[in-house]
Amino acid sequence: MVEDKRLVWELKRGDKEALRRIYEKYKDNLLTVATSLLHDSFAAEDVLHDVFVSFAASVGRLQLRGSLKSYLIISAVNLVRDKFRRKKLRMVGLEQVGQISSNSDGPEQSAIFSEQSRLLTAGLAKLPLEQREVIILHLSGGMKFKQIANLQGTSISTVQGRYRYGLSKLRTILNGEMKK
Amino acid sequence: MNHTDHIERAIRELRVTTTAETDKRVLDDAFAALEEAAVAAVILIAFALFLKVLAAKPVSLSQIYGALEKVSNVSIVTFAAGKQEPVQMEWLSQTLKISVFQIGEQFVLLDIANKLQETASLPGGSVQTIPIPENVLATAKKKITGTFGLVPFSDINDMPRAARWSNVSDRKVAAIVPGSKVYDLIWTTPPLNVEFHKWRYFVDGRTKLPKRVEVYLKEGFESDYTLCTYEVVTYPTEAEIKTLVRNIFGPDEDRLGEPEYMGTPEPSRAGTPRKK
Repeated sequence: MVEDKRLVWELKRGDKEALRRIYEKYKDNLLTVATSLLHDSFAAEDVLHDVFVSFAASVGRLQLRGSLKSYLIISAVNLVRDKFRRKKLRMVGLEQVGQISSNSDGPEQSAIFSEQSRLLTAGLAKLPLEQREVIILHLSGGMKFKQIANLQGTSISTVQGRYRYGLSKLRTILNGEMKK
Repeated sequence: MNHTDHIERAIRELRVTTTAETDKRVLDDAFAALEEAAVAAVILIAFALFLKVLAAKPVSLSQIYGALEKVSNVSIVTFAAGKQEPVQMEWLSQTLKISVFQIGEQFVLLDIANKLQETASLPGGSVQTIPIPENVLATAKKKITGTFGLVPFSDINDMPRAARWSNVSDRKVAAIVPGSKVYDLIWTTPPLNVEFHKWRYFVDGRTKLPKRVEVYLKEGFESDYTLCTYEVVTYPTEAEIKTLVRNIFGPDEDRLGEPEYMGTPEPSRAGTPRKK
């Protein structure tokens, strides 16, 4: 946290090395979150790109209240939501399992993920976006339920409910996959 | 692996790594954005400093004269001291050679080029046109040239030698027109010099144009200055004044296109009422 504040301070003075270090520190985490949310590695890389370009462009005006990691993850989530809105990617309900056709099940996805990870992200992609967000932001992004509740504009209990229901659905989906 | 037992741990351990190509693309673009932002910030700071320097410099009376002489269109709303309703509203245009003023519900247009005076009573009243009386024409001509009556002496050289131009540093006074600089011009009327005049100027530090002018008077050394009137001054565009004239007196072609109103009207035509 202290190191991040120092890096941001240096970055505000135009230090490229500080930007490089922030990027190195958080790129994989952000890419993991974006990929898990979008289930599309190309779109996830675009999100990573846009987060850092916009961060670099606006760091002069940045008033960091929480942690840098949360700031970057929230930026990524907002971009992901924009992508969903733009591309009209629909939330996928449990009843539609089996009809999913992701545009990222290509070789790139296979190269990045192990088989286990691929199954997991494919399962996550079948969850409603709100549940997926809660699970990924809590487990991959390390965010607290309270922070996620603020981001989603809802109560902590709703977020906890989404987490429980989401995990339960994911178990069902993955069990079904295992039996195939 | 049993997914259902270790699902949370598995998600926590998910790791997607970037390729070197992605790293290069992101960092190159982020560095470019950082440089652009730095350049923009430098320009912004330089501009802010420039404005600050401009604003910090005191404004002289001759600068106000100079600024007013460059202006073509002015709107002046005059208030009596302590009154909320304006006594008069006035629009002056050097380029259009017109003066429009409102007193109550009556609007008067002095068309100096055509030597015509049009009077309209609102709302929806008729427009009456008469030749401008010579004395009114002379006053109107004088008013739309130079400094629009916003300075007490049409030529700065006519100002009494003892006149003083001083900065008013009272913040409460400056707060009347936020962002303005306040100056007092004080002089006495010769030869007795017992009538004390004070015009207070609220000036835009950047344009040097007055935004408000307060007229004070005191009689005798012992008394205090009393606010008589104040004027709120804005600088409309020619198009805005044209629109105002069109809205009140009708379209140009209706007003000026009729042959009987072109040039100096004959006495028999004067006073002919015309519906808008």
